[in-house]
Amino acid sequence: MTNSTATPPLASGTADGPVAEVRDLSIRFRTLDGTGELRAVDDVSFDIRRGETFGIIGESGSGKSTIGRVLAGLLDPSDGTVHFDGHDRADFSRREWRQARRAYQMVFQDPSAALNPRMTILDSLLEPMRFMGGMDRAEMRQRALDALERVGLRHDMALRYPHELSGGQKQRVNIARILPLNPKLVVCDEVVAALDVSIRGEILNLFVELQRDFGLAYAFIAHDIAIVAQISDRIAVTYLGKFMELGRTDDVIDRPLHPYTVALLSAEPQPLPAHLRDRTQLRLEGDIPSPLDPPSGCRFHTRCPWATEICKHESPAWRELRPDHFTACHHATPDGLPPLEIGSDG
Amino acid sequence: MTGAPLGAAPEPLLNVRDLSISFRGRRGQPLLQVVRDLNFAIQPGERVGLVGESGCGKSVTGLSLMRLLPSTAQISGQVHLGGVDMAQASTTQIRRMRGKSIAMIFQEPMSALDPVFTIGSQISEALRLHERLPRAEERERVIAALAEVGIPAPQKRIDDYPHQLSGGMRQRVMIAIALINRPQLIIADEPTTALDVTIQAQIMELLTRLSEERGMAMLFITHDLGVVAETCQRMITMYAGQIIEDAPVDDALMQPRHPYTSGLLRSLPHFNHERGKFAYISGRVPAPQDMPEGCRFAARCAYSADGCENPQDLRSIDAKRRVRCWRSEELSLDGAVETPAPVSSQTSGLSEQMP
Ligand SMILES: Nc1ncnc2c1ncn2[C@@H]1O[C@H](COP(=O)(O)OP(=O)(O)OP(=O)(O)O)[C@@H](O)[C@H]1O
Ligand SMILES: Nc1ncnc2c1ncn2[C@@H]1O[C@H](COP(=O)(O)OP(=O)(O)OP(=O)(O)O)[C@@H](O)[C@H]1O
Ligand SMILES: [Mg+2]
Ligand SMILES: [Mg+2]
Repeated sequence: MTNSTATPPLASGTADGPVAEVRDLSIRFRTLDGTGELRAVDDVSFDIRRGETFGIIGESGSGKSTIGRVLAGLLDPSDGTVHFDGHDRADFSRREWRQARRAYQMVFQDPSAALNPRMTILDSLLEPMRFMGGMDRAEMRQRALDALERVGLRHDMALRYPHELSGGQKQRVNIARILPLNPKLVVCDEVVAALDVSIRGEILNLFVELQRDFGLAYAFIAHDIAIVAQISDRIAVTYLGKFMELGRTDDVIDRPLHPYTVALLSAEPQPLPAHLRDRTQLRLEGDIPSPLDPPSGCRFHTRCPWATEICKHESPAWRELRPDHFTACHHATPDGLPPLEIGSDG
Repeated sequence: MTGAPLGAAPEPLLNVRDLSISFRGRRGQPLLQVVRDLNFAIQPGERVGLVGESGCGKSVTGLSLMRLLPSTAQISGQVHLGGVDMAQASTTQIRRMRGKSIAMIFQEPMSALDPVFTIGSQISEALRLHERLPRAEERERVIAALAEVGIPAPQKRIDDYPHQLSGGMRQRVMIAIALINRPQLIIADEPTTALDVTIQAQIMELLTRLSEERGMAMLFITHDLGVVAETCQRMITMYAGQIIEDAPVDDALMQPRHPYTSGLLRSLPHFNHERGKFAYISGRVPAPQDMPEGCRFAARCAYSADGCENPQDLRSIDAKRRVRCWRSEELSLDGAVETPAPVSSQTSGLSEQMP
């Protein structure tokens, strides 16, 4: 059993090396009034492996979308590094980046947001290819129509406008837009949150199918833990800009190491009759603290039933407690968390 | 007994009969019917979930019970609340009933709260509509109300403005306002949808506790079947403006009798499902302007057959269940569970008796 605290070394640049490597990443934003600084992401390290689905869960404001924007090359680190296919983002020239960035794409929650309401679907599909350059009009058109077909839309959709499409169809167009760019990593930020439950599965299956056919890697961000669990190979759990836990999906869901993961899992409402619901319930008291003034020590200590003195003062190290299963918690052991005694948290 | 509301118990608190709602379109556009012939009842203290996909008419139904729909709405049918016929009631009578008999909580607490007044003064204002108290006593009542909805240090928070509170705290304030005059029925329209899951769990627990302590009935409007399972006793499922199933919540979850309810349950993601394989219902809801005469779900239904093109009645299939599907008895439909073992519980170090 490894118990190291070190940041993993880079496996850079090999054909089956990670598609993205993030090391000691911090993202700071100036606050609105310009006086303060907000650490949206604080010292996070991880890899996205080729062809995998890397799920990111956590509550609002925990930094999920900010990490996503870094992975799609839309935001540069304040501190730390990101390597794309083995190359440090900071070392790309403008021209090189313009060519390289097509491989790292993002799909957003609002199906309408990325589509210009006054452009036909075909024009929306051509736009990213035009930006990329290097193809004549006939070729671009052919690729656009192929992409439409690939996401299950008929060719006659090409001449329609966004308002003539349903939410699910628009989300298909958003996926079709990036396919001609041959992406390697697609950041999916709440991509089904705006869709009805009954049709989400259809879109999610499309993502899975495209991944299989094109070898895409996904960074899959969502509030709905059950969706993330059903689509991801690995899951990262974020809280106030930090990773609390990272591991293979089954390990994180069935054998969580971090109290916050336990709390998230037991807060998820289960559509089951009372006698079949999981009765181990961990209810968190209180609110999520302000990211402008995060708690000292472990950021979760103000809401954690396991918290002791050390948690208030010392930021827990990022440890690999089980193979490929990391957490930052003073109390976690390779066997999980120690039993909570009733009333031990006062 | 076709379509008669369930729960034959003495006198329902709320009795809705043949409620239909249409909207007048702009400039010569035709009338669009969005809710059709709704029949249901709620008993005192009962918590009922109202579910269905976006646009099926849940919010419009809730608003119509509060008489809060805009003037472009045309409403027909009867609504009796605590024995009072709401259609016959005068505006002053309705105003008196709002807050005292029936109150509503919305999804977005920020837009429902006035940013320029303290939360204390907004709760006082709601109280004053029904009760005049000496100032000091009124303040006491407001502080007690804040404490009851779990606002820490209510003596201090009472003078805060809405923007000084988190989303969860604002929703607690909205609940305090809705409950200050002790209504018998609360209509909660997606009250936790905008909140994080750990905060949602707190608010659901709060609402359930208050409903139990006060014998207050609740109509819980949501698209989240998990929320209904954990808070309600009965589940009414709507599709395209109609009730298609009405059943005790555990029965609806385990043995749905309408293919749409079943499809919805099967579409939910689950920790235990096969990785990368999602169920769904193909097709989409028909638009109000081209609603079929027959079953409104037929075009998406895996069980549609000759006969589904006929209009479907909401039939009582036993003492506690109604369903709008003529094939209901011959179908065997999947519920929320394939294998009766849900999420594994040997996780972590939690003991079963955790508070
Ligand atoms: N451009 C910006 N300027 C200032 N602050 C920002 C900016 N973008 C994000 N933030 C802040 O950074 C923090 C993390 O935001 P982020 O959007 O990454 O969270 P999230 O986990 O995606 O939340 P949600 O679940 O609500 O989408 C938040 O406190 C947010 O207010
Ligand atoms: N003021 C209005 N004028 C015209 N049409 C309206 C109005 N309010 C609602 N509608 C229409 O009535 C139908 C039912 O809307 P309603 O808001 O009740 O849906 P819902 O079931 O609450 O959906 P959601 O889950 O998205 O909240 C929709 O087709 C909607 O567009
Ligand atoms: Mg986000
Ligand atoms: Mg609604």
